[in-house]
Amino acid sequence: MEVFSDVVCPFCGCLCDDLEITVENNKIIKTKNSCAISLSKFMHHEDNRLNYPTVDGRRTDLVEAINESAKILASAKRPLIYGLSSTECEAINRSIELAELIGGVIDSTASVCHGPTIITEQSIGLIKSTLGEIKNRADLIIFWGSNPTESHLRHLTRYSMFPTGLFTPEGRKNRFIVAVDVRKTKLSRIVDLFLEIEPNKDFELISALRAIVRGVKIEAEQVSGIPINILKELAERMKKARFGVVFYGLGLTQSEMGDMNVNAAVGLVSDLNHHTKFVILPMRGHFNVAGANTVSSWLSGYPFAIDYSRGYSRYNPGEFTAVDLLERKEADAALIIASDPVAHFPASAVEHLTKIPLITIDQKVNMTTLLSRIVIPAATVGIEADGTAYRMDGIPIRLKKIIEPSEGILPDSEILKMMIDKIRVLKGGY
Amino acid sequence: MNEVVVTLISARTIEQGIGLEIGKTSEQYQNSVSVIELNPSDFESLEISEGETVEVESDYGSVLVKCRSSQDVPKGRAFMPYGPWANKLFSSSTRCSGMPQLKGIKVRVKAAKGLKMPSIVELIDELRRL
Amino acid sequence: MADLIIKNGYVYDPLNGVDGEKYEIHISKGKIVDEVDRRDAKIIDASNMVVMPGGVDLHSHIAGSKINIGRAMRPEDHRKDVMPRTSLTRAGVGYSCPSTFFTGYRYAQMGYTTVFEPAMPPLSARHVHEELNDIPIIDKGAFTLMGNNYFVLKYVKSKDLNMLKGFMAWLLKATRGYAVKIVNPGGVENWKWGKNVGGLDDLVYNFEVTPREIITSLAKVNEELGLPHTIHLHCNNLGVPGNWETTIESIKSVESIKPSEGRTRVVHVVHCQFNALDGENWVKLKSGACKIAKYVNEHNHVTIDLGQVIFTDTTTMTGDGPWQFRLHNLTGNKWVNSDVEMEAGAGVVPYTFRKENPANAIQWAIGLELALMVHDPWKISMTTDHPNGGPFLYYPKVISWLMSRKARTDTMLELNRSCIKKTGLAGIYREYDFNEIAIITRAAPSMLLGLKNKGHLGVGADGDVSIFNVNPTDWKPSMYRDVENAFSRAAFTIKKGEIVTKNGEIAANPLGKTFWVDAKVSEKIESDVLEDLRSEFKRIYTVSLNNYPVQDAYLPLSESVEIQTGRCLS
Repeated sequence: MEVFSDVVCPFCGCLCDDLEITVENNKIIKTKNSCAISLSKFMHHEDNRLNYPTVDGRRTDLVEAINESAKILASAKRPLIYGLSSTECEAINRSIELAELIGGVIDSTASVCHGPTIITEQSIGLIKSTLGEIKNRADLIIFWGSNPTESHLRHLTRYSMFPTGLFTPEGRKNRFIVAVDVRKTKLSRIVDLFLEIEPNKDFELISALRAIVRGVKIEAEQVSGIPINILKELAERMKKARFGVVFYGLGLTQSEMGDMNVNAAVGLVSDLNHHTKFVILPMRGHFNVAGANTVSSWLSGYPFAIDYSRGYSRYNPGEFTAVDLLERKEADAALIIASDPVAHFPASAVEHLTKIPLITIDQKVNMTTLLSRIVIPAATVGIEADGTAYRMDGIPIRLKKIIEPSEGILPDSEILKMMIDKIRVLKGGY
Repeated sequence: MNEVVVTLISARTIEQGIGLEIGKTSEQYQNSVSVIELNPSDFESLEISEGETVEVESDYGSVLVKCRSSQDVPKGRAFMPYGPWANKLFSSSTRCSGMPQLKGIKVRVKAAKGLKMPSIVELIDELRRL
Repeated sequence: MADLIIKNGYVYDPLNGVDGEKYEIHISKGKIVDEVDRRDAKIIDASNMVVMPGGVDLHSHIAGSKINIGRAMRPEDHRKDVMPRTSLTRAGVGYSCPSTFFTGYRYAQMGYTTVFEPAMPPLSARHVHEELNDIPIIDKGAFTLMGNNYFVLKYVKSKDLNMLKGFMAWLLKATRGYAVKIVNPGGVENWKWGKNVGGLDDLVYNFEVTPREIITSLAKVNEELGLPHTIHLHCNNLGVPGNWETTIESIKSVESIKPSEGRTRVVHVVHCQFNALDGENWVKLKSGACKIAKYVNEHNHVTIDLGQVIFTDTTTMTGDGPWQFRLHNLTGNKWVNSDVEMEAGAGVVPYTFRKENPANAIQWAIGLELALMVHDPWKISMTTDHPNGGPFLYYPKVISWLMSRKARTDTMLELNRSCIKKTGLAGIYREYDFNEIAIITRAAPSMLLGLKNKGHLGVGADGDVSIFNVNPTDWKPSMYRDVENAFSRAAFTIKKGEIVTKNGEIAANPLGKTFWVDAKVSEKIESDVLEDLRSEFKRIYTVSLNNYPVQDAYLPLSESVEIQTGRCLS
């Protein structure tokens, strides 16, 4: 029996790194400090696994699966590489190298979660800090369209609501917590102020707050379903906070005009910095979605939505983003890495995916693997393979390998390297 | 037939997270995401009982899911966890941003007594026939 | 790899006193040697060309979270300069925030072989190293940010310099850093409450220490540890008119500190141009370069680099959060702020230096004045503080300004004359020669960094050589465009004995190594520091102490400089 301490959880953007995992005979038998989802991840990582590569549903060996994949990708005119957010950085790095090599389009799941955050960063910027700053200093925390009680289960205890820190010795008592959402949640029951707003009305509400902070008189009696006097109180509270933070989630990015919502929120926080310290942090979902944007930026200059068809990187969300490329029926082959777009894309984008040669590298059976022409099983990153992941706030943490994968099952990065080598051969050493 | 028009929000849930880590084809996952939640008053107007199948229809598609009532959902709104059922309702248009709108779209919900909700495998078969 | 002989070139090797002599350089197994066997050697004919050691850049933001924020937030920056993939090279894009592969290629094309990233937040050190590993060809390293670190402030407050010493040694090793970087000491901690410090004797909230105490403590321990580089100081009040006084005061504050054995310097002031502003405000701005230069000329404990301004659109990025907020408000340009718990901060704001902007014209002149008014070129390193003053791609242009008064005059003629009068540049006739250029781009930075095998061509040095297609015997300052062209595309760049570029084209794509410092302290100090870290870490950090240090996996190719020091401070 072996106990691994300081294990990093490869599920959500919190990347909690204080797990204790007990392993016996190469099997995980116990976890400590895990949240419910993390527990499920570690204890069920062997369930519903892909055990061998398949081509057209037929069992095959890795070499043939790689060769067939290489043929498809090398001859495709508009190949799409998609996924990346649930693997480690070396694999992301290889994916981008592969996209370069085949002149493909590469996009990550960021495009359907915090793509609007990135678009905002490119238009007006972003005012952020690492999570420890919140833990140590924040006395006003606003969860806007985000709900860690369903998606980031230890966020409240480790980083935001409850922890004690350097200048927050009494933890929860030192903080005023606000939730803004369109429905009641577990979070809304435990905060100091809950604003239940109308769907698709975030932009109006944020803009009203911004106007009040700037001293503009508002004539409306309520905005987005919230009485103006409550907004005035909140604006005052924001200005007077010692250190304030907005944690926003997909409630802003996936509603109507997602990027404009984020743009307004960052603008509000920017204005607040003339009064006090205020930061704003996106609640990134997948454990390494931040890493996908990070690695992509240093290699290609762009965080997502990249086209290499001219040999160098070009960027255009809306054009080179996966959903749009599929909706336009442009892609003629796709390689999916650690993601399940068939389950998570809107139906008409999925429809095109079913009509092109699809290659999927994943650990488990999912809707995309069930529809793929070629399926290559991979080791579970953070359990059977090590590597780097970037936390939601950009902090890089080393994932651990705690057990050996089944024989013949390789990490994503090695599978991708084999694919690259094979395609280079097919392309005569290019 | 009774029908309500509501604004649909999709989002993550703990059960969905736990289920997907067991596996997309697992019972737990399918049970966790093939559901729509309505405010009790909207729910009652459909004259169905808890867990019964409803048909949810948007301008872009329709799907059969089970229906529950929830005090947490305000009247006129509905909630579905992310997943293949909810995604049949959304448009792939991204307004050139890359991001389809996955929250805040209008849907019509009506009772579908006697109809069976599709399983993951059936959803896949449907896609294969496309 | 075949041995290499470079013959017929005019060699400039200032560290070995070679000033334009014609002689052969022999390289074997990656090192400069006395002589190789001619029959098996590859011979490069450098007739009518300049031969120098490979370029060394001691301050260029090439890797890590800041430059990467710049890349991500500025798609508009990248379209100006693109490199498609070839069978030998990876794809890349520029310009002020170039991608990693592009960075390595462009530096090598200009004859540079060693570059240091000057601002590594410890908590994101892994990020810096991941990027360094994707920068091909050049050797590199990174300086660890310490001037606003919680433990540094704590030990400075308690005046426990032994603990400070142990902590600095531990942090350098934990981050695989090469030197101690200080950015706006105290000001960045105060920025975490939305405030700043205004001078050397302002207080840091909650810690009750001053910037002066932070600087002097770190400098003192830096020298006690005998680190290869001095403290690398980004002074308080950067970018504030009138800040020359703070700069001189900062340098003065460490005047009496005993330098480490074998050197006189105890502080390196970075991108000095941004800290040599005189005048009460931006309207009354004038050059403070002569005041700084005078002080530097009279003292031997300080060296500076330029932070030369280039007239172009660029991206400013520093660990100085409050300054970037100020710049955002001055320009209205987009602003990313990024504070790092317990230790650092950063900000990124795009900026365009314009010829028609009076302040920019003065800043441009200040950088050149500093280089020309400081008599001893060994005190100067050429930088643009890439990309703050401008992209590193413009180094050849800076060289032409320094080597040719006509080049400066031609630029000055495009500027507002009344601005130039607020500087002393028009009255300066000095022109650098090739030897002095070799000093400020190679020998001096290498010496300041304590890199024994870089920046020179003596036997045993690394086989890093650059060859430029300009004939120093018939070159005149009026031909400044020739020198700019020659330095833009080296005829040959040789890295570790391998030809990596030829006529400005990439010829080989090896991975360079990463330098870091392994400073040893007594076991007692080491264990005391670890105990203190253990007792505090969990409460104040969000990453566990065991997961904090950079793992060996991030240094596939590295060279550690081991420093032994057992001496206790009294």
